[in-house]
Amino acid sequence: MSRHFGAIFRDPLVPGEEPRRYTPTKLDRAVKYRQPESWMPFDLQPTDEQKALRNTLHDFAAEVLRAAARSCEEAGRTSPEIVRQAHEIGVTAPLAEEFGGGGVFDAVTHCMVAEELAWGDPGIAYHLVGSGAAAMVLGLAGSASQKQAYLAGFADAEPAASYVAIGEKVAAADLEALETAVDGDKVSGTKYGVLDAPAAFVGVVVGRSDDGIAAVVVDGSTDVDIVKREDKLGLEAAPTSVVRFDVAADAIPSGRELTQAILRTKLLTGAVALGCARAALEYASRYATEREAFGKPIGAFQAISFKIADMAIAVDAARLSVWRAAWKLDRGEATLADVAEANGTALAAAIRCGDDGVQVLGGHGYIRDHPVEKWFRDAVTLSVFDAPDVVGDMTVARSVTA
Amino acid sequence: MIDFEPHPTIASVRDFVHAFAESQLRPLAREADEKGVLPLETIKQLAQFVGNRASVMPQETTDGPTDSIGSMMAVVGSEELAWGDPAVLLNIPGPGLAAPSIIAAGTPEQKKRFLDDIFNVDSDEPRFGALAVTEPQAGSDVSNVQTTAVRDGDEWILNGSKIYCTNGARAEIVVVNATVDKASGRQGQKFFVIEKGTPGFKIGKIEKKMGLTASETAEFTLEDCRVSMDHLLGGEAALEPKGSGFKGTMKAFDSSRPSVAAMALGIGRAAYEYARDWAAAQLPMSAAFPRRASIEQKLGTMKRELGAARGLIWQAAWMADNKIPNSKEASMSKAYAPQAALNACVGAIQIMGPEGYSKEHLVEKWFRDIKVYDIFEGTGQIQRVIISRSILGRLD
Repeated sequence: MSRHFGAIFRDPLVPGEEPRRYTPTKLDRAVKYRQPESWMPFDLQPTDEQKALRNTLHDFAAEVLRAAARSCEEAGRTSPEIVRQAHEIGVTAPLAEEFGGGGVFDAVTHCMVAEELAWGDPGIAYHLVGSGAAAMVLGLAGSASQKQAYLAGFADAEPAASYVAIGEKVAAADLEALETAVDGDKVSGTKYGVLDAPAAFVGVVVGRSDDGIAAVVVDGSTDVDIVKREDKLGLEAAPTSVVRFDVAADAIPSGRELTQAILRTKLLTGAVALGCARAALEYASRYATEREAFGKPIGAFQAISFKIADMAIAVDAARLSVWRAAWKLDRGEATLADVAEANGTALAAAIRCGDDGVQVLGGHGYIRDHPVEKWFRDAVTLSVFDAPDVVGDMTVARSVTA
Repeated sequence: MIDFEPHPTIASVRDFVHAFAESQLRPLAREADEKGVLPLETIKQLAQFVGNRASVMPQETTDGPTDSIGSMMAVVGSEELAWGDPAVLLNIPGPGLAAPSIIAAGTPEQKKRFLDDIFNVDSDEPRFGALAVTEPQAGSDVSNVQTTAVRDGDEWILNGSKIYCTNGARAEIVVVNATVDKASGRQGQKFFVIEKGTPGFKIGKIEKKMGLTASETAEFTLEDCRVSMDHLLGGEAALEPKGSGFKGTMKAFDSSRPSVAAMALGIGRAAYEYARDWAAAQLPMSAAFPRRASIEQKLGTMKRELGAARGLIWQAAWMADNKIPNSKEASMSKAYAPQAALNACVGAIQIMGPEGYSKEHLVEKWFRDIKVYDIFEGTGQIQRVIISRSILGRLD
């Protein structure tokens, strides 16, 4: 690293160094201009609670997650300390108060949580948000006995691991092509990207039955076949495995609640991608104002500044898309196409910002002293789960051509 | 609270405008494109339908609930009208782009005289307004404008030539920018209202274009064209050092860029919907059809990108309605929507194959129409300059 960067860029990923402070986006600043008593329908103004939550999580992401990103990546899992801190903030597993939680939050808030954590580090965010997704699915769609049996476990003093298994080798994340079979109280199929399966006290496995999409609850004590631990391109802080299920399990009642809960699980991937994209945009923007070439900040050259503009467009488009799908989820109206559209926009943004983020930093972008190369790897890894060009856009179109 | 449900007024306006676009504009599209002009009778009918007040620009202020949804109304209406036909849309009478500059820089008397008295009246004759900024040697680089205005007592003498002026030849009033003080650069440029028939205001040729052929694009020259002081927008006060300069007036266009982006979106959506329905009806969209997956892929990308464009447009309009500065977001919508829409038009032609380029369908026309949306009202490149400066600051 040149002296220039040693002075200006204190790497936020080196433990012990002071992390970079949050620069509010234009919208965050702008909304302070006027606060009418009630906003008209069509509204992009988060509630006061959402704003407070975002601020809290932003500080956590800036001060804790950025500093720990590289060490968690090397360790191949999020450190127990961070998992505990996130558990204390109480945002990773939305849980009703009757089960000892801090209350169930809606899909829009859930996506804001995922974006803000992913701004800190996408891998850690994927682990934290993913490990609580089962609580959301069971809370929304589980039977009374399933809720009774498992939800309190998420409220324990010690954070609990769980998973929602969707991805497969052939179907990737295409819900309509899943090969895992749910037959009454039996589930059989091989799942990829199953989060922290060896440690999980409960898991949800999504597959198909004769009636369409279906899901079962698999107790942590069930003897499932953990085929291998995945060694991944990115998102290394989130430990995932390939797991072969061929076990008796407890079916979750099918219906609208279950579909919406599964769609929300998928949308969280898009929200993590959004945070990843925004992180790269902000980092590259700052770099472009400080690095000089040919006697000027590189941001003065349109080859660079136009990249920044396109990244900013992609990030706003992604956020609006994700929020729209989340808002539909909260009304119980979201379709697979809505979520595929949002995830497609968010993942396209993450890949563009990852690529251009590295490119704006040039050689420095390729070096692990800066975080952008990691965010690019994280973005491509995330895209496996809902790649716009491979699965997502076809899902969008199928809803209108089928 | 995050809420994507449009205001009930917006929803009903959208439905009404859509029905108007479908029944009145779409049927005119092909013939208007071929003839390069819309019959006067048709324009009169359009005028009767919407009144001369109608403008694709948001109103300055109105009473009641529309006060804080005016921009949303403008973008939703623009999308639907352009979906009907973008060239016919530009033939709907009204002050057009003359309105935002007069509203931004004009005195109360000028607003009454040049907007209310001309356009806010019941008239059988269609009336247009126009804005002329571009010159043969100066497009995006507005500081290079060569038209001059020289004071002569209580009058101004304007000289110069303007091109690419929408509705310029038939407009009742044309707003032009001219340099009164070359040393002050863009701040030395002021806006003047030129009335139809003013001696020295000479219309030149009507351009033949790639698309939007039925929209009048005119050039004109100003040769010792004399106007009185009350034609200088803002009056004498505009000449003071802090008077309304070019930049301040152009701020008014923060509200028009989302509307233009919305028109682009409407064109793209028209192409997407047409190709989607055509494929469903004309192609064997079964699993055995080899191109099925690639066609679905293309349609999905088109829909996703158009959805993203609508999000950006609505965000910019929502900010304007809530008095939140939206220069960056307005430019984002204008930079993104025309490209998404162009991709949709090209995709629609490719999906439809040989029928895509055929003039039996409108998709080839929409492709020709859409291209200019990435050029006029600020090119995509100028939008990116605005966006990146708002993020990075001025670095050069």
